[in-house]
Amino acid sequence: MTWAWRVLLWAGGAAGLWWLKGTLGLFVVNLLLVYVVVAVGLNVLMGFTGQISAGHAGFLAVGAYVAALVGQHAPGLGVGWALLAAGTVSAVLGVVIGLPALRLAGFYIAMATLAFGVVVSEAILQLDAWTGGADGMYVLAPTWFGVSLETDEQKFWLVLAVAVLTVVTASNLARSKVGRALTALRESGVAAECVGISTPFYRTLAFVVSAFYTGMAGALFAYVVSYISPDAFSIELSIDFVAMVILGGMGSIGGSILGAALLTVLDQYLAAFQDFRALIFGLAVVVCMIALPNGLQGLFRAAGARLRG
Amino acid sequence: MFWQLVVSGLATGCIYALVALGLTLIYKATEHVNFAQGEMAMVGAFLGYTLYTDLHLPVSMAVAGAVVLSGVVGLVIQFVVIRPAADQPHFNVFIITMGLSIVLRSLAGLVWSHDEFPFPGLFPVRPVTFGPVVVTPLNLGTIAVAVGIMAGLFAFFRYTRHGVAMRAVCERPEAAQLMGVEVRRVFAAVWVLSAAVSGLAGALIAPVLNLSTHMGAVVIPAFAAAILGGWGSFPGAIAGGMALGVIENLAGGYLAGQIKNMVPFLVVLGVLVVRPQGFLGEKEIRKV
Amino acid sequence: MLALRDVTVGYGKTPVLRDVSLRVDSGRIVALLGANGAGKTTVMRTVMGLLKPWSGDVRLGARDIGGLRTARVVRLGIGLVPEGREVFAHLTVAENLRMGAYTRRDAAEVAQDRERVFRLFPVLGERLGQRAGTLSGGEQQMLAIGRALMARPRLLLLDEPSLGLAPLLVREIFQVLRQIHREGTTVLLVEQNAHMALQVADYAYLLETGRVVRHGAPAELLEDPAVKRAYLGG
Ligand SMILES: Nc1ncnc2c1ncn2[C@@H]1O[C@H](COP(=O)(O)OP(=O)(O)O)[C@@H](O)[C@H]1O
Ligand SMILES: [Mg+2]
Repeated sequence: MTWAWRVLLWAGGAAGLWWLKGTLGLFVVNLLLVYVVVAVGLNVLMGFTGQISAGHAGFLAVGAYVAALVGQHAPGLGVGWALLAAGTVSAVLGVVIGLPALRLAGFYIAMATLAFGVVVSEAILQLDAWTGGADGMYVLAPTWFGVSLETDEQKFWLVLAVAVLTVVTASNLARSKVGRALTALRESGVAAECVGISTPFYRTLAFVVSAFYTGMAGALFAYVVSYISPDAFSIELSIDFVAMVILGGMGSIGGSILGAALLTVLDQYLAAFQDFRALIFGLAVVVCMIALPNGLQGLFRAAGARLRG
Repeated sequence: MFWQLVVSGLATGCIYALVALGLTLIYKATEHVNFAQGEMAMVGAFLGYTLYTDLHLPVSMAVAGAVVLSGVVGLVIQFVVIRPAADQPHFNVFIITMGLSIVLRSLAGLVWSHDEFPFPGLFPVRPVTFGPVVVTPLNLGTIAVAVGIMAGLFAFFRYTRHGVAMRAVCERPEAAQLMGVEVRRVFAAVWVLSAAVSGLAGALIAPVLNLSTHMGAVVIPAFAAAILGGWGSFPGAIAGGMALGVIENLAGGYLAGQIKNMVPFLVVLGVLVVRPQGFLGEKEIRKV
Repeated sequence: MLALRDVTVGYGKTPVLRDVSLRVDSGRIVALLGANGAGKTTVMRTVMGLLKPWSGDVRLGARDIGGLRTARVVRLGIGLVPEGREVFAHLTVAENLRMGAYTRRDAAEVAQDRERVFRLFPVLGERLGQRAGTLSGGEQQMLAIGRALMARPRLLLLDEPSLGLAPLLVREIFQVLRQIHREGTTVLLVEQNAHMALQVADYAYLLETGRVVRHGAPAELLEDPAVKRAYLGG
């Protein structure tokens, strides 16, 4: 991609956010950016290694509760450290889930992650001395060099910074030797082994990176909504994340951004019709997988190719 | 106390086993993993409920109708959703069935709402005493029906022309075609059978759990059961289901009550870490 | 009986067969020879409807069967003993034979054909309850042939039935082949083992990189210097 195109895309993204802020408000924009981080993180796992996670809401929950607990017990700690803590704890759990995944494949990983997501929710309920159980807990605003980030606008800049950082690092990762190794792995695990790529190492790495991004996103989520409870991190949310990646196109970071944005916006308009919302999300996944296995990104790419002749 | 927990655990375990059988059927024939299996059971139970309340059929007829209608639902799903994606990687089909599970749940919510409904049992719940053990006919009946269905399936696969053909298709679809088997028809038949078995499971468990759109979650213990017994193995699915039902019940009875909900997940995680091929499964795990 | 005319077909975008024409007349044994990768299996798969011809046609009698579903082709009376045997390893020998007769409803005659298979391959009769996967390679080949015969095909295609078998077994298989032919089945035989094939065949085609380069009676081909050099070891 040329420089001009890249600038144009970023500018388009900014304009889109500006427009959304006007129509749906800053809170939704913040949420959207959080989901962008999750979708990009999940895509590292799904798109680059072909491992599916049906429990990413679990990593999101871990990050959120870590951030909430840090806020409660170490209120002076800067937001950078809080994010790092949230990402790290989540990444450590990513290793725990990713290690058995070494010996497994395909849907076993989906089941293991699904189980993980539920165990996390259940654990939050059981550890009510810390987490407040089903009552949930309030999240203190993060601090940036002593300044408390209270307003939606302050939070916006924080979330935007992290989202941009995520997108930039993930794209660099995709272009790096590691990224190409991961993609090779998805194309064919065996072939990748043959060209000297260590499958187990990269598969675990993908889990760790993905869990780290999602843990950070969890912290941001906690700040944005400022009240969290276990039922916010359901299996349905995990499947929504999968839907974002699928709709955008597996393996494409731009696609993940698009998928996250589209589903978040759709979610707002359909909030009053929960069943229709779920129906549309589900149908989107089914139809997209049947008709557009490469997602919207693939559609745009094909359209672009046709335009250029 | 112990034996009571075992018997009622076996009854739940039979349900898990039936849904796990449904999963295994589809997997063995097509190597597809159907995430929507639990939702198929849920829809089946709702259809039975409608037959019972709106058409005033007797319970047994309503359950039989649920089984048949579930088969129809399975056929429609196979035609509309699975067949168009038949050439795609199994990974994609798995995701499609994830989407399908959401679609079925929300459709059921639109049609029947997300409330809980009391579902009539095929058998009475008034306990009867056998020596030191007090059990309900509902439990015993559930076990009997499930075991009967399993025996029927076994005989079908063992002794009938179509049953043997299904096994042949599972093993070598192309060679089966060379025998004159219409493989696509067999795939459709497998979905019908799988959905019908799951629909039965749904109708059997609905009196215990109360009927609701959340019943689709039964797919999770079913997966756990199939993985515990050895993924892709019919005896494994049955043994795994029964074992899981009993373990769950004993854990709920002797340990904290809340543990019960987590048992399937802990079993999945535990088995995957310790013995991914399950306890009756073959050594090798396919890398999909 | 079977005729291919100018058939071009391949996998993906690359053609494997180019304008292949060949005929198998009723009551004959026709051999299809060629080196590894020449496209012999592809011919068989095309006849069986596992591949759809890109151009040209495949006829059985007057009927165009090009691209017909495999299950239909089988019902028209063509049977294939596939390369590598492809028996159902988890099914018993008896169940494999039962699958062979899948299309038939005439139980009495199926029973007769079973007896016939046991006459041709007595060892199968002794192993009825055994899983096919536990048979030796030679026994599996016999089962594969027996299974195909159970459909009572008018035309039997065999794809390298001698592959990987000990010489003695190869002779046995070829003897049975003659027997099957004598009892009225038309045969199209694919072989790399040109010597054996030309001994039983009435007519032969030679395939090289997807084209028929020679055809004729075995006596002619045995005399052809090019054939001698390439396939008969000088
Ligand atoms: N499934 C396939 N996909 C792509 N190419 C194939 C496939 N099967 C065979 N081929 C190619 O077609 C050619 C002919 O194969 P085949 O008909 O099996 O030859 P033969 O049976 O004479 O050994 C070979 O070059 C082979 O590489
Ligand atoms: Mg060949």
